[in-house]
Amino acid sequence: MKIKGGTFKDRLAGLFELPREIVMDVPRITMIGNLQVTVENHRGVIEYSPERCVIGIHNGQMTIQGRDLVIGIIYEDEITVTGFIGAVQFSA
Amino acid sequence: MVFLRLWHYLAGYLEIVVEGPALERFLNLAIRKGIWFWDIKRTNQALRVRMRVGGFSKLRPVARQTRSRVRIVKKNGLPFVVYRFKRRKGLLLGAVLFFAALYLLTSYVWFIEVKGLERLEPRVILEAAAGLGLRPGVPKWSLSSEAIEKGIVDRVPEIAWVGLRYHGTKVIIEAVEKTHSPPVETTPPREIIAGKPGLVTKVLVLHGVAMVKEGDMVTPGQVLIWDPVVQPPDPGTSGLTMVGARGEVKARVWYRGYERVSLEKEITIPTGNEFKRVSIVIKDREVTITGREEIPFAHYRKKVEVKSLPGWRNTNVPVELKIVTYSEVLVEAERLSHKEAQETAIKAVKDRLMRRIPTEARILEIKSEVLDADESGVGVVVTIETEEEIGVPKKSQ
Repeated sequence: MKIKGGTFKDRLAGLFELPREIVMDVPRITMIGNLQVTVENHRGVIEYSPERCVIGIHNGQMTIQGRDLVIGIIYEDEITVTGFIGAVQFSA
Repeated sequence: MVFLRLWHYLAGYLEIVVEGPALERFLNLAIRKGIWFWDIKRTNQALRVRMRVGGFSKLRPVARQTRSRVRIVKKNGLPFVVYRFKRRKGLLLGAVLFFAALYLLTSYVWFIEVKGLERLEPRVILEAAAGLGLRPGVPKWSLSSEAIEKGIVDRVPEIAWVGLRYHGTKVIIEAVEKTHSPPVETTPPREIIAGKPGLVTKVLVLHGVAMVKEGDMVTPGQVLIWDPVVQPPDPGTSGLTMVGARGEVKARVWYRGYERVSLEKEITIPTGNEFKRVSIVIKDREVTITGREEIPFAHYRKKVEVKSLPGWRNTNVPVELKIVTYSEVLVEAERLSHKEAQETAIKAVKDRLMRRIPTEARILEIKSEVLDADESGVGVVVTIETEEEIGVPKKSQ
């Protein structure tokens, strides 16, 4: 039921050209080169060190690996990580 | 981002260090409470975080819950600066005094520099300037550039022009010395020679012996009047003044010139259409702002205008505005008649010859004759006959 609902929402979003991150509750991730990652709609910081930053998202977490990572700005729904980003990985 | 930082500065912010076993949880809980964090850095087991002042009291329960220790390491921003100054009135007074002193001291003249002198000692100018009230230590507002410039020129006879420039606390006096004409030759000329070829019409000797007579043809360099007496000056005869060769020799002189004028003539007529191209030049790079398209005219005249900012001290602003204006012209071929071409040619030769004829010369006759005329053009020879003075004193060695 949940999966079906998800696909329905997905189709709905496609049909009306609505932004998927709003309809489906997934994060909107913006990267500027390898210098900055902005995650909107996040679920909090799970782990943070200058080499590794794990951010919670709606159905899992994303890992940012790199060097000299700094959390530039953090609000309830938005987080910006700056530094030298090596990899971004998603896991359930 | 700049505005955000400015806002943070105006509102004031704290830099805190958080230590504890669950720092991520601390962050999440604090954020849920509506506390803003930025520039979060991790060093070993501590977080260094910036936050707004208002949220600090809300942090206490979060810290207790996550068993973290929070400590303020720095207070930044305008409210703290103001607070510090409020507590330390002496510091504020010092700052005000500093700026007042800076303003006061910069409104005086402390250095005077003289530029542009070659023979004269700068001391002479400085003394003259001091006499007019311009010396180190006088306030700038008491000086009138115009009066000082004029005064120095009046007081120092060797100076032709003076300009004052202010450079902060330095006054630069730019002076231009009078240039003297080279000293008059002491030895009078021994000979008067012909400067031009011609037919001698009149010889009038004031001093010396005439070497030519009326009706003679002379060539340039030929001696006309000779004075046998003149010798190089020597100390023993210092009481005597040498006269040298003197006199007037007039002759008929002929000037001749040739000019060919083509019957086809190109004339350009401006149509009034203009096309502008504006670009910014940054060092060697040029960025076109408007008028990037091709120039829409086949024939045009180009006018380049460069606007640059004034330099400040030793720095030149490397940014310039370049405006190129292209004005359209029509090129039309005009066919001249033989008569018109001939007139044009005669006028051209006459103008050219007239430049060589001295103004005192009396013009006796102007003759023109068509030398060659065909389909493509007309060639004309013009001869101008004058009567003029041809004698020039020969410089003695």
